[in-house]
Amino acid sequence: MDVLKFVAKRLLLMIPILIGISMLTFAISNTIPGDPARLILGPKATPEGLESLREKMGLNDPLYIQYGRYMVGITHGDLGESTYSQGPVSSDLIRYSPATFELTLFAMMITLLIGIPFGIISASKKDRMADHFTRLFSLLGVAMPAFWLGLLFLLLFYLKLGILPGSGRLDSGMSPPHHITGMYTIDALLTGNWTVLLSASMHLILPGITLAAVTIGMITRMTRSSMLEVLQSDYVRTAHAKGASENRVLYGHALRNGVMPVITLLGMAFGHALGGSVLVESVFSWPGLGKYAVNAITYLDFPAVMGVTLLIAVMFILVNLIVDTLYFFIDPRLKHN
Amino acid sequence: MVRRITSSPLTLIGLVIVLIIIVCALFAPLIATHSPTEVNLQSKLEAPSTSHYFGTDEVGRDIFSRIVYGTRISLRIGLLVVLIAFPIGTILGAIAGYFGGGVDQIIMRITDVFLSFPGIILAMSIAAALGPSIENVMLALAATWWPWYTRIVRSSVLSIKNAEFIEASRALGANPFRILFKEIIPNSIGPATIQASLDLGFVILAAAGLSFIGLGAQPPSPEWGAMLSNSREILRDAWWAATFPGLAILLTVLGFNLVGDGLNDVLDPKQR
Amino acid sequence: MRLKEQWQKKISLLVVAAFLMVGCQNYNEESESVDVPASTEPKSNENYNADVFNFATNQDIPTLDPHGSAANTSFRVTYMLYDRLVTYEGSSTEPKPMLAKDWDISDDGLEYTFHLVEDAKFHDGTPVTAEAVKYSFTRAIKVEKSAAGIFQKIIDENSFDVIDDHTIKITLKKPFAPFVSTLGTVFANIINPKLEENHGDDLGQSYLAETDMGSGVYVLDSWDRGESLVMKANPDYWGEEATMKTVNIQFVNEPSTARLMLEKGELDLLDNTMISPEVLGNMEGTDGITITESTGYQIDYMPMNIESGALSDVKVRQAIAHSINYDALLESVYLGSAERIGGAVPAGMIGYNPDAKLYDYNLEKAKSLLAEAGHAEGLTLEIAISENNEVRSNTALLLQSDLEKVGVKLDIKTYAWPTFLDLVTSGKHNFALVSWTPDYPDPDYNLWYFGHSSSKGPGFNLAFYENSKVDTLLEEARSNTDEELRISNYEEIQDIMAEEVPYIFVAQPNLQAAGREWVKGYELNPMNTWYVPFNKITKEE
Repeated sequence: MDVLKFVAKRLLLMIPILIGISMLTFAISNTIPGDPARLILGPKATPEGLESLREKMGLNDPLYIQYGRYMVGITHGDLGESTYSQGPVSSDLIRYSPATFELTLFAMMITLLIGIPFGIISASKKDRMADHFTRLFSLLGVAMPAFWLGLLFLLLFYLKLGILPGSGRLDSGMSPPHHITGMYTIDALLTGNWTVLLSASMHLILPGITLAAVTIGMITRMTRSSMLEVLQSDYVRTAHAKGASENRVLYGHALRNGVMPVITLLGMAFGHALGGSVLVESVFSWPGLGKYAVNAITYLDFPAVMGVTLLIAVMFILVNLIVDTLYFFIDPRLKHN
Repeated sequence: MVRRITSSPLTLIGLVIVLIIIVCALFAPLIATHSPTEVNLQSKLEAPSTSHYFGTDEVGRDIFSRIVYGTRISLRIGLLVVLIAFPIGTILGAIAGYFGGGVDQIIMRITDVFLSFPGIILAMSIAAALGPSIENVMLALAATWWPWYTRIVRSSVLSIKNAEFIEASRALGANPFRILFKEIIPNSIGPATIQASLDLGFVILAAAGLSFIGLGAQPPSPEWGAMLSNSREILRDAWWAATFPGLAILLTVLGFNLVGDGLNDVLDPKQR
Repeated sequence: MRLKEQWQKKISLLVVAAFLMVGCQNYNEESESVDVPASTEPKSNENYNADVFNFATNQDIPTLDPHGSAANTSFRVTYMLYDRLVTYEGSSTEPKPMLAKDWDISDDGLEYTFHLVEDAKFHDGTPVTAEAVKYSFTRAIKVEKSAAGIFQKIIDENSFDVIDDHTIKITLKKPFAPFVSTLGTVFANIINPKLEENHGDDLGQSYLAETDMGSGVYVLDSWDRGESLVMKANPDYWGEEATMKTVNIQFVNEPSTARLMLEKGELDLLDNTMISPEVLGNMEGTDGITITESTGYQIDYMPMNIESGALSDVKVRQAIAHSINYDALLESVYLGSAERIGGAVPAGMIGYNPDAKLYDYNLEKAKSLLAEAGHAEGLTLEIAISENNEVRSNTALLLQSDLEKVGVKLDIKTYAWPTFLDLVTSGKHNFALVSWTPDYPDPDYNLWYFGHSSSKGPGFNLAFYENSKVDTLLEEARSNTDEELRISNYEEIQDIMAEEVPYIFVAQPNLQAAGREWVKGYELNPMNTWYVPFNKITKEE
């Protein structure tokens, strides 16, 4: 019951935030100097053609009417038409999101598998070589320009060594697996298409690691400091005093309490990965939301920019909600707050 | 405190990096071996050598000199963005925390809007809408950065709002804005200041990312992200063109992070 | 204790390793027992497959509606999916019969009668008739996009007379000499009239954006936006069957990646616009790769907005023209594979004036002209370029360093394409750098856009140039069918414009495309560089 209330409250809070985001992006999109009609018609368009298209697109109406129309559209799942693809933005988003989901989920998986153990090691070996090494490693990750790392990976593993693919989601000429989730690795797994699974996994490696580099750094640092806090807490000291072995203290007592707060950060890390995908996808020709967003910005396709921004915001808020709900279950203290 | 900072090897490394960057920025003309912008087609795409330490780019400019001059751009971006975002965020956060009620609600809902999606997306749209230039990138980043300070300052204001010395000035009938600026803000910006020192690096990183996708620095400016972007096409023929500017970004961000971390450790002994 | 910790570390490492290995092993075991679909056949011998053509571009395709797109990257596809009355073949700029077997033109140049081939069928089996031709042109005009620009002034809905199923008469509103040439452009593609059933409220534009309703030599097979587009040879094609059975167009963002894929043989040909001359130069001589080069009608030029401050003075414009080191520019940016021209008509096209004045690189003259114009102290000007183009940004950099020598400080401003378009068509620029390729081979095309006063701004007269003599000459030539008079008019216009320099024509670059040596029969068309004749190309190892 408590959980339901909590979730319902959070969902309600989403509404004003989404309205705020839509107003913000709408305001930004209307300060741009480009003319969408001119963009659609191209350099060789006639002035008459431009005017009639502007009229048709409602570009001559006052801003608040255009905004109202947009918001009414949203309630029907209509995000307007992309000035670039000239198709509905909503179907573009549906088309491009699975690739981004797949990439960010993969990156998050790597992040957890590497980040949390590193953080624990670092905390338990505080101020020793292992700690310094992990700290430096995680600091490098946090400070890493992901787009540069991507270029270096591309240069080394694809262009020079040729051991990993550097572009797209599948080998050329391979058709994607039967569409279930749109995430190639999962679809290939579900349909038992192993050739495609291998190809799709290989293609995930470089962009996935590039994207994970930053989040690994974040999670390692967080795990370390949270573990340290726990290790210095009274009950751990008591356990020590009682003569429990260091490992028993570390894995028996501290781990659970130390790693738990890290979960709350997963939402943030996910957001970071989503943001990072904007640059990383364009380096690896990964046909996801990030590349779509960069393309939309390049062509100042503002219906698309608004759509992609709203979608990413919704995804980000939802992931945070899921994470918080999980935390709600794990940490009994929250229930009384 | 100084000893505490210097006792950590990582913080020390950070300080050294930051110092090197500052020295490069201040004395760029003395350190650089060539002009950062002069096109020299006879010597294009030369590999690193004793005459061009980091090689040359596709129009024959010396990459080492461009990176040295690039410190000026990056430092300026980092400092200016933080100098714009920090006061705005601080004042709004203090107002929200101190006055509470409706004002608090409005300010915090607005920050929620800004913080509810990855900043780079918002910064991208703002920069694209304003038109590509380094100044607009700074504006775009400042516009996405202030809410973080608002949040931090608000929570520290909440924790000192009812402290005795504040109650005292209130009892004396001091003007609320006087209290805000004389008592509240000075006593609650500590954590936000640490954040700001860390942010210097992250702002530089974000600006480089925006320049990388063509929204920031304009040619022939030796901005590191733009240099990386230019190197993409010649990646295979000239590894140096992609390697060194990225390394410069990495080291700069790392330097500021290490120093920020060191400050954090010193001021927040809990984690020692 | 130490030991124990290390032991634990090893265990966890082992677990991770085992996890990874299980993943791999699964794949190895299963792959032997599972049938591999034909399309995912493991590649033998360097990816060579004589029936499949792999092409890469870095530009996404916005829409497949031939009447609805101004994007060159969709042209490449719609040229294959649809047929036109006439077409351009190989490197020829002469229209050749396609759906129209032949045609008659009345003496007054107003009535065109086309006789259509009889066995042409759309992909759904419906025959291609005169009605379909009428429907397609009418729709193109109503859609009011790029196509309209060409056709609007010369034909409308009432211009068509369907004489019988395979004969149609088109009556022009006024004589227009290059009419047949325009019928080979992508906007003149013939669409299945059944589209009417899916018109919706936008004449079927959103429907046609992702599907094909043509009669072309290829049929659209699949399209994963941003990833790849596959076309299959049309087995029932009325004409000559396509040589390449499958055409796979891939979207590869990074030129370096595309280049490597080409070297590995994963690609057969690269979009000729995605690799800069610089990189092409480096690719030359790579094993298995050839660079196809031919002359093109593209011109790279710099409009000088004569309505903006200092540039309104012809002396300043002449000074600018004298201060550019053209030889160095052609050599370093275009690596020598470009020519300099004096006017808006590219060399090789009728009406090209080889004697139009070329300004020499003369800094002294430039300085004295600037001094005469009262700018001895120097001045600051801006050049606008659109982003993501190596050639233009390098050109701008060179111009910047050239102009600095005569005291002109040049600020480079890079804009997103739509902002750039808006800026230059509304006259908010000083200089700009633009590439331009005519859609049909007639001097009227470029000169009217660049020189006629009615084209100022939105009509792409980006210099905002106005000269009543030029206007008169243009109007006279357009409505006249006397070839000699037209040519002499066009040559005179080029002389006048060279004297008044509203534009500097920096280069007429050669077209270059990088491909595998095993690709035979590929020629670049001077106008339609995005016309890749997949149906005629062969692969021979």
